[in-house]
Amino acid sequence: MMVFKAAFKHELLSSLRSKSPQLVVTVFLVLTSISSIIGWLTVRNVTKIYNDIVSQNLTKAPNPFTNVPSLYYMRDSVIYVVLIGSLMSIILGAQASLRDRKSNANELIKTRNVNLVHRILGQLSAIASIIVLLEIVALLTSFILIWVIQKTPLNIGAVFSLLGYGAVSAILMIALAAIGFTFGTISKSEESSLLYPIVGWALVTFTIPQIITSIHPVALLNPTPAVSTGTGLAQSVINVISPLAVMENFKAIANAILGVDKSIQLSLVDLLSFSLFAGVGVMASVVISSKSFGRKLDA
Amino acid sequence: MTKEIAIAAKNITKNYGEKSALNGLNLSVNRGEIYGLLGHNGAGKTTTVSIFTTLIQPTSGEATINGHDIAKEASQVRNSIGYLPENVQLYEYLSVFENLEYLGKLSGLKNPRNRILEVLDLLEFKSHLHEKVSTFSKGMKQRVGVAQAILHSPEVLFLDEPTSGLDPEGVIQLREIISLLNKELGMTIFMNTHLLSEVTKLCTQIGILKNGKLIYENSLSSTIDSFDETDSLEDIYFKIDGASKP
Repeated sequence: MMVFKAAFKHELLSSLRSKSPQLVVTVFLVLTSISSIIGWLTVRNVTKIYNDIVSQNLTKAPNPFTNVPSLYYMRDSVIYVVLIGSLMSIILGAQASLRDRKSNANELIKTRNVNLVHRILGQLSAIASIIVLLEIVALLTSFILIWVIQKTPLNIGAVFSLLGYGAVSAILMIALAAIGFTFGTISKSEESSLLYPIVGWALVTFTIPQIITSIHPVALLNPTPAVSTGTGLAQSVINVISPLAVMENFKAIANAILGVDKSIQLSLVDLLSFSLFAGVGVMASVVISSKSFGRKLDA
Repeated sequence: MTKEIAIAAKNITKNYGEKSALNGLNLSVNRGEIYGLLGHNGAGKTTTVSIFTTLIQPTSGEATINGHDIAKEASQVRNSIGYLPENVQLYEYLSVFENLEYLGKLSGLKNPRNRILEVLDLLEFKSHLHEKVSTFSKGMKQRVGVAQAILHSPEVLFLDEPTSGLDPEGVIQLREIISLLNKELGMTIFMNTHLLSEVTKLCTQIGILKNGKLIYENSLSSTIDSFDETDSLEDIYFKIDGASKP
């Protein structure tokens, strides 16, 4: 337990003081905050124009924002988690294991009686705490902004949906941080330790969904999941590779929890494949990183 | 009276694929000695230290530290050794205290604060306790490196090219520290070096490694006595090594 606690504290201090993680964390927080502010500005501008039109008796249609779900303003943040949150997590994880290798401290640690699994769990728990803390700040900002926009606080059901969305986002980012940590441990150079997981991320975010949906790549930047299309053999192939489209699965789960689009329901397949990705990602990270600890970086 | 052996190697070999790094190494270091292992680059010095510090396993042969087998009793070996690798950078964004507190806890010290202060006092480095390592010179980092190596009060200290990259002032300071640890704390010190000057000024016993084999081992005083009066240690080294002096 002492090793776990020491590694936890050490990782918190190191991550929060290192420049690269500080930068990506700031970008993530600014963007998630901006997403709610953009939502707020959109509502304000559209409502202003709507009121002008109504005052001129040009329409009798209701304000398009009158009946939107209370968490509508959160929908853009889904894509920020997929894009910025994912990359931030990979960098946080990779930097944590690279730090030991760059400083040669891994040689010191290997000459001590250290339980490496406890140490890795301590480090990953610290990174997970940072991610959870960021999610709390992002959700709190959104909660306040939605309150300002709607002039009334979220009801209890919406608060639970918000918390559920935050939990799923955090799970995705923690799994990606664990994968980044693994590549930071096993890669031969600092560059490749970031390159491999980022290429993997690009594959599951863009390439696999394109195969499944034949959708234009830019459309994959939508916060809602793309719909798979295919018949016969093509559909069979889609069924097999769909679980690998982790980011699309995440989008589907996030949208179902937020309840923004009533056509998107929580699917068992999405839930299972997402849970499997997260669970296997973290467990594999602990096993591989403890077995491969101490590898030197190429000079 | 027979002296107790602190470090021993019996017929150690280490192969990296086809390449042999150590080829039947036999070596012994008595308790309380400062042993200097000399050799050219690639002679097998770092491989030797890596085996003694349990970082790697030998391909064959046996090695013991304070009587504990490095393969079968690695845990006891680790408890009794301190290690300063070549070019250790430590954690740059953390202070001296934060670095030492972390490494102390990994060494099994439950509350390392008092021990950290004691060690830094010994190394005359207490005034830098809360300064970040990133602001330090190479010599200052080496002092923190030595501090982490002796934090858990090991009996044997391994130093891999400890003066490499240090300026002359840093070399003198580190030499004083090594001497202090040996005389005040009675530590057995094993250091790798390719600098003959270090051996002359510090070590009580020397070994010369060539192509993974120990070709010479004796006390420094006997080594100097065995050769011509006009021979410098450098001349002696090249005579033993059999290489022509550049």
